[in-house]
Amino acid sequence: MSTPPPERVRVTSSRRGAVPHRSRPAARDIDEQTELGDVYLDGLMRAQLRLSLVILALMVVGLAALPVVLALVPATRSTTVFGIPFPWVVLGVAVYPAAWVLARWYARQSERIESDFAEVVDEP
Amino acid sequence: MNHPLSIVAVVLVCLTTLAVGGLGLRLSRRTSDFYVAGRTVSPRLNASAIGGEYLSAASFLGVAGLVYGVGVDMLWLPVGYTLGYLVLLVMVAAPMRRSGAYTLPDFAEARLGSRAVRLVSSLLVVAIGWLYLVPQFQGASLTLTLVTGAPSWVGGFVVMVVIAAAVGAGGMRSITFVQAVQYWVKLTALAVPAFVLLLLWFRDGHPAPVVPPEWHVPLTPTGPGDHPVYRTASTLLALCLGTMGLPHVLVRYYTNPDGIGARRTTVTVIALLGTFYLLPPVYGVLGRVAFPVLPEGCARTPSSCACPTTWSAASGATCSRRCSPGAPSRRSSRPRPASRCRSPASSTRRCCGPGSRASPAATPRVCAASATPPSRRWSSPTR
Repeated sequence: MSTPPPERVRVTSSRRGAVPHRSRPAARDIDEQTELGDVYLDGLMRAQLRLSLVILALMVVGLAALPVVLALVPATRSTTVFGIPFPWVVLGVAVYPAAWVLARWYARQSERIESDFAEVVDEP
Repeated sequence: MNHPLSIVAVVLVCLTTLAVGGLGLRLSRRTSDFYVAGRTVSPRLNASAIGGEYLSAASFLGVAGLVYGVGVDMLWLPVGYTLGYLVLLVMVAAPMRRSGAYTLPDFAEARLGSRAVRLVSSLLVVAIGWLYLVPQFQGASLTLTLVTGAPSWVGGFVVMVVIAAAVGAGGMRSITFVQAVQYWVKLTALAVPAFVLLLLWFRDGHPAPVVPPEWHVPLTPTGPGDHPVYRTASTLLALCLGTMGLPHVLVRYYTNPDGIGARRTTVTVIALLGTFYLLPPVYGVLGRVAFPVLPEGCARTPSSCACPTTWSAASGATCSRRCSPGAPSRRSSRPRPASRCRSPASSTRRCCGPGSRASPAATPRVCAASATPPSRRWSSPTR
């Protein structure tokens, strides 16, 4: 005699209460000021600082270049460009477009850094 | 001076200011409208407004006069004024806007978390504002007295009433429009005569200014104990950092919608300032062409100078004829103060000797020294 085997019972685990798996957006880490969020923010701030320092360094080098050129190549003191002495052209005209180009480059680069950061952070 | 025309021009500028201020009046409703123009000012409009605020008479009269007297070395000043905005752009423009502050002390407190810093910052803002306000009133009084002959209190009073009405009624929105219009008015007022003068100069065969050689070379010592490189570098450093501390400029950054707007504003400001600062050296150099030397004392009272107003009369002529004792003063509207102005005869002998125009290289040293206005010192005019 053999007893009939017990009826098979399907055992399942109810996952109704479980949260479906989802990657944490980085924005939440930043909002909650977790260590990971700090790493993200540090990266952004360091990139911006580096860009700023590069711009300032270029500015200083550009300004220092004029006295150096005048000292090393004395001929430039009396050279004329379109009838205007070279130092006048540099200090009176050329310096302004140069400053504008630097400023524009900075603005564009920093906007790019920010949009790159936003892309990383908002990724689901 | 043509009094009726001058009065018409002054009234026109005042009415324009009030009318433009009225434009902001209709839109100004909330607290944020009043203080920060609702934070909706576009970069271009804001840049024009900053330009209008930043460029005062010191920027064109001062720079032109210094270039006239000292030469190319004075061009470092407008360069510093402009580069200050580059430093401001890379250091503070965007963070300051994003802090959400209304004023400079707000920002200082938010950043450093200290009430004491806020108090110090408030006091400094008021002090800097005062230092700007007093010369503005003085300048308005002098200008109105000069062009219309009005008593000296009228200029300051008119400015006070017009600006107080525009600011009190419309707040930041009104004053943004007013300042933006002012930039373009100033640029036009400076550019049109400059181009006319340049055309006349070319027509007359573009004569070179009669100057000592150091006028053309930057970083020349002004005296035995002078260190030009050190002096220039420290001035540039002060100007670059000083721009970040101007409360009336910084407050404009709070009116941009966001940090990106603040940055774009600064880029445009640099373009506007660069355009503007092309003009004062033109006046300085052409002034030197027209008036190779000022008889001593004329540096302080130009209206009493007895020199021709065009250089065409002097083509080929010697300087002594131009500053001859018998030449009537074309511009004198006031009696010449005897204590300040040397007699024409002695100034002719000292600085208008024959040959000073014919051979620029042989310009006597005494001529260069007496041609220099008393502002030879490296003094930075307020902007």
